[in-house]
Amino acid sequence: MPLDELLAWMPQGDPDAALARQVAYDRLPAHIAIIMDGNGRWAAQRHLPRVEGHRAGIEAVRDTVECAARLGIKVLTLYAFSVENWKRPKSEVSTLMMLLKRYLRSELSTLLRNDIRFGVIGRIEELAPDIQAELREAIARTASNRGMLFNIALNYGGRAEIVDAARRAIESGLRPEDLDETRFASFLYTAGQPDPDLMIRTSGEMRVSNYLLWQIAYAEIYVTDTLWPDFRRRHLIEAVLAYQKRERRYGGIPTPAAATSR
Amino acid sequence: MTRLVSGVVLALVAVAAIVWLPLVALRVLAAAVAAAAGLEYAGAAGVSRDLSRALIVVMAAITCWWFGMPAFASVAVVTAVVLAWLAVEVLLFGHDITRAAVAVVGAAYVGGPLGLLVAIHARTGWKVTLLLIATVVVSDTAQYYSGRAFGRRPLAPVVSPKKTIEGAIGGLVAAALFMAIAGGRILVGEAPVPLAVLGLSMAAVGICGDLFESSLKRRAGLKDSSSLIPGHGGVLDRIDALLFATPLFYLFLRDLP
Repeated sequence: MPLDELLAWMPQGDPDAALARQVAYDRLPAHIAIIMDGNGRWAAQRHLPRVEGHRAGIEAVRDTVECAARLGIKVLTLYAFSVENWKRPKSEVSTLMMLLKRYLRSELSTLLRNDIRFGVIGRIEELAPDIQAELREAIARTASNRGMLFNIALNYGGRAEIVDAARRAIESGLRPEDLDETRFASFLYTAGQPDPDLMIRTSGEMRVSNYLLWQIAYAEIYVTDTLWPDFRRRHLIEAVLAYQKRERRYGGIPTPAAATSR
Repeated sequence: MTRLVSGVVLALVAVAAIVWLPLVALRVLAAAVAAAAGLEYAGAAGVSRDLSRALIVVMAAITCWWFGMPAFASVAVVTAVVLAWLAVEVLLFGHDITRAAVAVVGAAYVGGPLGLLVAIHARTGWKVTLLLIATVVVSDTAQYYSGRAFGRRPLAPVVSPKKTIEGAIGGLVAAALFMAIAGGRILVGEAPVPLAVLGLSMAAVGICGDLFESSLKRRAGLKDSSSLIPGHGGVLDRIDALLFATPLFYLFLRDLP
């Protein structure tokens, strides 16, 4: 039972427990995608260097990954580094990569303990060799896990992904008339994964920022003003609760059995 | 009794401030403590001229404010300010270089660590800040009691006749154990051995901080740095070990993922 998993993880009398009890576990989003925004702003508010915001953001990643796994989410995708992020100062980029490496090393045991499978989406072949090796190691070590799939989007861009998929489709020798939406999706990085039902963006920005463009066609978008380093399990559960109150119609008309009955 | 009551009140106020005060208020409070400690330092260091004392107090507060904002405290600016201040002391006040250095060192000694304490709070929150302070308190307390129980050989007979080697060992061991246990719960993912080494090192430099302050007072012929805190002496008497232990703790945190 996901509820028991969650409650076992929270200290006795934790206010988050009441929130966890409100979740309808039969109507969870299968896939949650998160744009982790606001690290720089968090640091600026405290007069700290930007990299300190990224460091603090790791704590939020830890909490979110474990909470999502215990909730019973099938797929969680975090937007860590976009193809555009190379434009940032070199020192910031190298700190981000160093933090990623350290995170993978220190959190591998948490991933294994929670039966989490690790995956990466994006043009990882363009990353530094040592980072690639680290990523492959984490993927291989968690490959046989059966729980949540935890994707990190690295050197990722939604348009780049679609272009890459189109290239692969052409390379495969597919005839134009055989290409349909399902077939095309099988060429994406996320082949075989359910599309995100819920996309969360922190720090109050109302943008998609080239994230999972194809896959979020019907995703519910949830924006919170919380900055990413302050994001914790409580915020994730709140987002899931907000999602469960929404009416999902996929362009149709409401049906009595839809996600609105509550 | 006075000592116990004011000690408990002081501890409660400090904990409440660290847990509940917003960052800006904490910055103001830390700068005020730095100013008070700066004044005591000026007295102990024999700075007699009012203008020079005032400058130390103001610069201690500014240093604290500024080191609490690591985004701005660049090495180049620190260098420029130190040189400008030395120039003012020597060229404007006509002090010799020793007296000029005494003034500049004072601001760095009290303002720097207190600013870093605020930076630690800004970065990692109140739990980690309390961990730092608690480790120093544990070390101080263990030194006192293990010194009273086992103390025979004096540690620094000239500077601080009551301190013993046995007391110092008790402080080192207690701080190492405390940091390994409490630190392991608060700094998630850190192994106990590096934490124990951190706790031990913090206690060691804390003892140095304690002796440093004692020797300052001894030269000035004072018992306490002031009588601001009933039964405890001055601000500097309370924070001497913390001042030395804070930069070490900050460096350890900086290298954490």
